[in-house]
Amino acid sequence: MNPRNPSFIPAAVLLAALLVTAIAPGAIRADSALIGGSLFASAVVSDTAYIMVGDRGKIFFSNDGAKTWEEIESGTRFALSSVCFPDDRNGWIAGQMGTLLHSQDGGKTWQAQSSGVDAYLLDVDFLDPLHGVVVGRDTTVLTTSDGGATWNQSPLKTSADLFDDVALFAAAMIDTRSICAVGDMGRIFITEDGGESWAETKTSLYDEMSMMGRVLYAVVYDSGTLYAAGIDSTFAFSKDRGKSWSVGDTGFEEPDLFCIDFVGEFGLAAGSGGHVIRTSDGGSTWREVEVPKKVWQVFLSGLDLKRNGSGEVAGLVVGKSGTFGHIVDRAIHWQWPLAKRERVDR
Amino acid sequence: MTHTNGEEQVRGLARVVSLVLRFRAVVLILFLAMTGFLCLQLAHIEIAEDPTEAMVPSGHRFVPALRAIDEMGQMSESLIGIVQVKEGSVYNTETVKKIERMTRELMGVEEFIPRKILSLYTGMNHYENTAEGLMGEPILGRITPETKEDFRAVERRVAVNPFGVGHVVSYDGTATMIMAGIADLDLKAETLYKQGVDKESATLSMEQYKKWRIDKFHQALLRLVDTLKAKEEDENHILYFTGDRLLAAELTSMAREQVPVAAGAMMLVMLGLLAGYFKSFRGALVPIFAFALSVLWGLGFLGASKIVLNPMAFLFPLLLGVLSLICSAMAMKEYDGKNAEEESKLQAIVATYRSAPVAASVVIAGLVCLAMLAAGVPMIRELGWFGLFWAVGTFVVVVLICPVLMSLLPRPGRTKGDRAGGMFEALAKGLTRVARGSGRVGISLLLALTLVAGLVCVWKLEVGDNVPGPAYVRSSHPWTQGFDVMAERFNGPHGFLVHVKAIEEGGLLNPEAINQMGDFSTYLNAKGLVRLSLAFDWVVKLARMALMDGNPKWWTVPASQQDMEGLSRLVTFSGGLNVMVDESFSEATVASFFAERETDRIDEYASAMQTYFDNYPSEYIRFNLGGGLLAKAKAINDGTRDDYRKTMFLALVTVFLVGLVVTRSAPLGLIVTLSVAAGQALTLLLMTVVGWPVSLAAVPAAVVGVGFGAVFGIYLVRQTGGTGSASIAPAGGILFLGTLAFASMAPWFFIGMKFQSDMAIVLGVTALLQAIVAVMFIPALAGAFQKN
Repeated sequence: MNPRNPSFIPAAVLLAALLVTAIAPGAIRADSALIGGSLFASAVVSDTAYIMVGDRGKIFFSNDGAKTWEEIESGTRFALSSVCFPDDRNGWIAGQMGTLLHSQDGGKTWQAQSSGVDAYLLDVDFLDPLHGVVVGRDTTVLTTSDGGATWNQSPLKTSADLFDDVALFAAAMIDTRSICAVGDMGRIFITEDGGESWAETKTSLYDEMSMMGRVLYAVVYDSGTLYAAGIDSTFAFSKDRGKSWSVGDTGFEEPDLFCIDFVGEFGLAAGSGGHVIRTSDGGSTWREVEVPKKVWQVFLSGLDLKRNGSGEVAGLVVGKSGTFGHIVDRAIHWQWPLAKRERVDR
Repeated sequence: MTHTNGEEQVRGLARVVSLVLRFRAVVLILFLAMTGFLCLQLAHIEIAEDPTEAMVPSGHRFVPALRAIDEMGQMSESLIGIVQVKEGSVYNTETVKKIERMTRELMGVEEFIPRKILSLYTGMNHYENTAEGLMGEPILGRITPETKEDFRAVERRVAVNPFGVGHVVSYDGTATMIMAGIADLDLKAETLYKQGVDKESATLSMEQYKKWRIDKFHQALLRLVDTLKAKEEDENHILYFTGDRLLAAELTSMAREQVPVAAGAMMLVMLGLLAGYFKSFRGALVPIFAFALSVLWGLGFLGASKIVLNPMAFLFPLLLGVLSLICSAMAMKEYDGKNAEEESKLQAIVATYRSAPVAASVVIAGLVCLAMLAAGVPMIRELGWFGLFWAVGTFVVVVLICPVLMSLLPRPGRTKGDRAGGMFEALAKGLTRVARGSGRVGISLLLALTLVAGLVCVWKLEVGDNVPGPAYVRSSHPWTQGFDVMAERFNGPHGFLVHVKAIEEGGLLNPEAINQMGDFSTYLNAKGLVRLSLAFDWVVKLARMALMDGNPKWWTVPASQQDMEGLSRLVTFSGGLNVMVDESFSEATVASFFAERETDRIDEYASAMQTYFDNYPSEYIRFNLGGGLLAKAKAINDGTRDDYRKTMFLALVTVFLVGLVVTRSAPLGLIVTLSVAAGQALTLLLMTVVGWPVSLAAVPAAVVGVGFGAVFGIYLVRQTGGTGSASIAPAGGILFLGTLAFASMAPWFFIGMKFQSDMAIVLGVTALLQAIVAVMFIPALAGAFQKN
């Protein structure tokens, strides 16, 4: 754990205490979501198959374009934080206590893989069914080049430093040997040798002197560009495989961006307070996506976009209290009870 | 039909009355001495501090959880102020300014704890993860919002704030709440008393000072609420105030203002009706004397017995007093008649007690009240004891003292009949006419139908109106309106708590145990049953995410017990969470808040929760339903249902047995019992038709109603044999007594205190219906029996 601001704890306790002792305690209304627990990540497996994963080992699978969902047995009760499908058959899920799950049938069934660690694994990314990376708590980096049959620990070392206890929140495979990992305090690490050695990229996001920076929660690689998103609507991109980064301007200051994804020039980012922003020009300009006020009450922590067979962008954005939005042709259909659908933005 | 043994009893009573009259000076001295002693005992009457506690049936399955949750920590009292906007949302300058002014005003009252005042203006910071760490600032921002964009930003901040939507701002954004925590008034008064800050602390005892101080605060609170309403309400804003302490203040104020008026009106009605009926002040004086003294004796015994009186049931002694009044008026009516027949006043008095079943009436009413001792609800049992004390007092007053009083008063005129009596006799004549000939068959059928319908009503008994708070004041009262706005637009006050106990000591440090509590909350949310369900896992997740750079993927419970233990100890270190989890991490609560409070909905909530516990047994924890407003309401509803059936059955059995003894005839005893049952059935049918559920207040009223019915029935049977033209005069008397009972209670129908008002309405209506039913059914059935 990294108690950056322990003074918050008494405040949080006071909040909670007031909340339960009040005559009418109140908090975020978990608005009758059928899938009530928190969802942390999503994946578009194919034109019709979608996957959402979340707390308590929950996996929800849809085979009809996110219309109906069934719960898939994961074999674990640990939180599942990330899911990735490099093709429409092979998928991986990472989670608490070093949990790694693999599916070879498009997400219908899952088998445990041994990660060899017990850290909380926060992100998994696969370039193809063989090459993948997992990052997590306590500088954990695991790589595989055999589809997860074996996972190698890739200590986050540069030639000069050993980075103790840098929480890595996300990673993106650039090619079979190159990986970008981001996390705590806005630090960005690149390896070009499959994780044997790592280099830290100097950016304006992290101030080495004060050891403070802008936390990055997500990173993705698409069409030759790395995109990262983080605290205070931070958006950064690199067109040279992570060697240099530009900090973009989303036009927003307050919301944190917890997830980001691109399909060509079209991109979406989502985060705290149900904020969703979109770009159609590769991140040069962003505009806010109107969401129902109910969504304002939850965080959105997972997002996946893919171009479907008819060339449209499809995707799934998920968050707290089972909230999720199905993205079809760049519009989001928010869902709480599965029977009710809400078309919001085009 | 034989009355031999009954007549022997009556002759025995007449001998007692003769003896009393002979030694009336001694009897009076003894009576006054006892009355003096009992007056002194009035000061020892203990009034229950928490009226709701004694309403929960002691054997209810929720009680262990209720107690366990109470032991974990007490909820603090709050004043709830709601500003509702008629057009638009609360996100505008005018409304925000109102909230600021109101919050400041509350902060200026010393009984409110400033750090426990929560509104858009204070107490709800907006926390944000920034590059510099977690930063907090007021929800409205550092600069007062002015533009539309400013307010949109505020609205988004409110949406993510744990105190935001549903708590400080309504779901629809048209109302906002100020919650002001109130200091421990007892403790504060104690401190002030020791400091001697005002002159009362020198003249009053500590307990008196506390009462005085709290009363002073209640009055100040009501003034504050009125002032704020006067200042801040305008064409676009309505203000509501609610909360526990305000309820206490409102009830105290209502009791102070309305009880003397209603009691005075009750006395006037009794005086007027009795004086009109008997055409003499004397005719009114004796029954009113019996009423007052029976109440005084009953309360005196209560004080001496140390049985606690529930303030919600303060009307009950007065209602029973009406039964004393009826018994005494019955004697006075008989006395009027005997006076015309007997030579001397004393002979007339003795003859009165020889013929009128006064003692039997008191005994039967007292024994019927004893049925309440079998109730599961402690308050009803306490009223059962009061009923016993009342019966003793009434027996002494009506049977022993009233004859003395009659003997001391001038003799009434020796003419029979009067206009008022004539009116009631005419009514009785009409009603009893149908009891003759073939009409008896119809009447019997009607009785059978009424009884069957009554049985169906009892079988499918609709109980309700038992939610502590709204059950105490009328729905039209501003306090209840505020409560309803809270329930409709916010998370609301309808809490249903679950007590969670770890199977092993400290077992709540097991992450799976905490997760299972969270699973239960998730289940309720997913079922769409609940507005909000909150358990300790929520605090753990909130802290964990904050500690891990605000990354939402840490919105989880730690996987390892070691991490879980560290985090749990960290979040509970500064205290204040004891209502949610105890210090030993062995007990916890899951608090769920529901939208509605109707009986069937509460049952549905409880059933859904219990189904979950049954379907998902845990090897780490045990869930037990039982805390919060709705759990109490459910327990009281269940208690009302059980106690209504139980006490009614026992009361009717008592009526039959005493009727059997008094009339020495099983058929007549049965006729009286059936008549009483039909009277109760009619009341229940009436309540069902108008959609008025049986509340706890209705249970003692129904039992006393049986007492009224029994008194009327026994009187009719004993006086006339229950049939023929001979029954018309007594039947007229019964109709008068029923009307008198109804009218005496009528002033209480209109008071603002709903519980007491409900009690009076049920009893008033029952008394009247019992009189009508007795007059209709008893002559018919007794006639049929005699014929056979």
